[in-house]
Amino acid sequence: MMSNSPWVRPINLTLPNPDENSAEFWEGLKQGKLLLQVCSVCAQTNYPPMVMCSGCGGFDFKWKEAGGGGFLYSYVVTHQPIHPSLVDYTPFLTVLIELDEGPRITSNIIDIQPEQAHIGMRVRLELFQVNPELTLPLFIRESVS
Amino acid sequence: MTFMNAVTIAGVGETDYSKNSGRSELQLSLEAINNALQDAGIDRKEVDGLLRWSVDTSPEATVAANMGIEDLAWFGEINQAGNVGAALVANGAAAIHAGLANVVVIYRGVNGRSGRRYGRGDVTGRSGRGSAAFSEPFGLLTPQHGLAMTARRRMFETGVTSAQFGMVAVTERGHANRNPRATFFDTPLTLDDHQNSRLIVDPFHLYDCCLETDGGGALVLTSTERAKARTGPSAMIRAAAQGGHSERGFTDTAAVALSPRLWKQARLKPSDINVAQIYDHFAPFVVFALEDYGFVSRGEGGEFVSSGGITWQNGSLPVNTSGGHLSEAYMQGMNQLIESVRQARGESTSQVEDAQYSFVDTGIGTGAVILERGE
Repeated sequence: MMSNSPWVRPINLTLPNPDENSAEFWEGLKQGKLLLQVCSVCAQTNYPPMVMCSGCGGFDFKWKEAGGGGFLYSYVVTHQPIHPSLVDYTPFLTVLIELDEGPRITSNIIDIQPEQAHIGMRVRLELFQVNPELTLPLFIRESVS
Repeated sequence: MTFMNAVTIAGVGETDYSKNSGRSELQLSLEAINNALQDAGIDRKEVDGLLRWSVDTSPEATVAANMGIEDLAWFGEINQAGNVGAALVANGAAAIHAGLANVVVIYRGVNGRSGRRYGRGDVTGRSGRGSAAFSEPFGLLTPQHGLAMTARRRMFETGVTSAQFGMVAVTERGHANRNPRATFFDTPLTLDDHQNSRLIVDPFHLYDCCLETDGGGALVLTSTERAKARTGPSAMIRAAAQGGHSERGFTDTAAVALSPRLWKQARLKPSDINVAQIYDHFAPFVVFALEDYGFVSRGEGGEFVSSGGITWQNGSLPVNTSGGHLSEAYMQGMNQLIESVRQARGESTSQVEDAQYSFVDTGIGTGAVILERGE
């Protein structure tokens, strides 16, 4: 079942402020890839990217493109717009997705109503272009083949 | 090495709790400090240590100047948010124990309702910088959002229900109805009221959420020897521990890492505790703390609460006996520290008889204190 209306991102909702440690990650999204940080020494996978590998203490990382699959690990629904940016956009669904590679990523599922969210549901990456400079990693339900 | 009753919370003080204090946050702190020093029987000129929440707006030097302190020998603050009260007690006790200070005052003054409101994201928003770049753009904007995410997952893992969370709120309200200082002294609460209250951030209903309060509170710490200026039962610090970051499971609170250290330091076990104050910014976290500190097994907290386990008089571990943050006041743990002292001294409006060991957690694992009644 498709949702009744296309998902609309709250117009004043905070945008990411990339820093030197995450710039490549955000650039990857612009190029159409969700990049996971992988330690060059011990291969630990991090999301969000870290400065030092907590596994081995290394500072050298590679990037690996995520496959895009995962499942809903937890979620919250904002009903009262406790932040001004959510006024007129409630109820608003925020989810925590566990990627098939292991890391968990905070995001939104954009093709369901909040009441359709349930822990365990399979999802797939859906890149969402906010503007020419910014693409966010959002998710849709995984279609049953 | 550890405190083991060498340091005592010798005095407690607070102001009225209201929605609009009409005074500055600095004045609220100073009024509370005066009350606490009077309670301790210690002159303010003797104070040589000051400690505060880093979110408190009154700097140590300003407080010291207003108090006329001649030699501020030791001071500090702890960063994070509201959840550092017990950690401050641990640090203040350590300073006294190490001989760095003789009388340490811990203070908190806040216009949490008429001033900046904690429930609003603009208080804590980090404008998408640092790690917030990976949470705020998706709608995780306030501490409440992150805690709701944890609570939702833990409901899935342990089967605890919203109605069981509701019984935390109902039980605490019953305690508040016995406490004339409490914001909700005159107002009862039923489980239906809780379940029918509007959702704020699902799974949190309105009555799962703490109050927003204007008020001040203060504690006076000194050596147990010096604390004898005040007669009657006293609140000795049997053990105090701090916790911060730990790489545990997503739904484990920091108490999972802290509690083994606390019980070892205290040479006690959870069943030795007679009464507990537990940080209730959101009601579900009382259930989680009961489990993560080992008062009950993981997954049993909801049933323990529902069956009256935390209720004054009949429960085996009465919790938040002043009404807590949900129904007395939200002073970021300060009012719970004060209530834990009252219980150790036998002065609570919901006094647990013969309470020898009074437990207080002010942040689900960021810090916990066990007080022992001294005569």
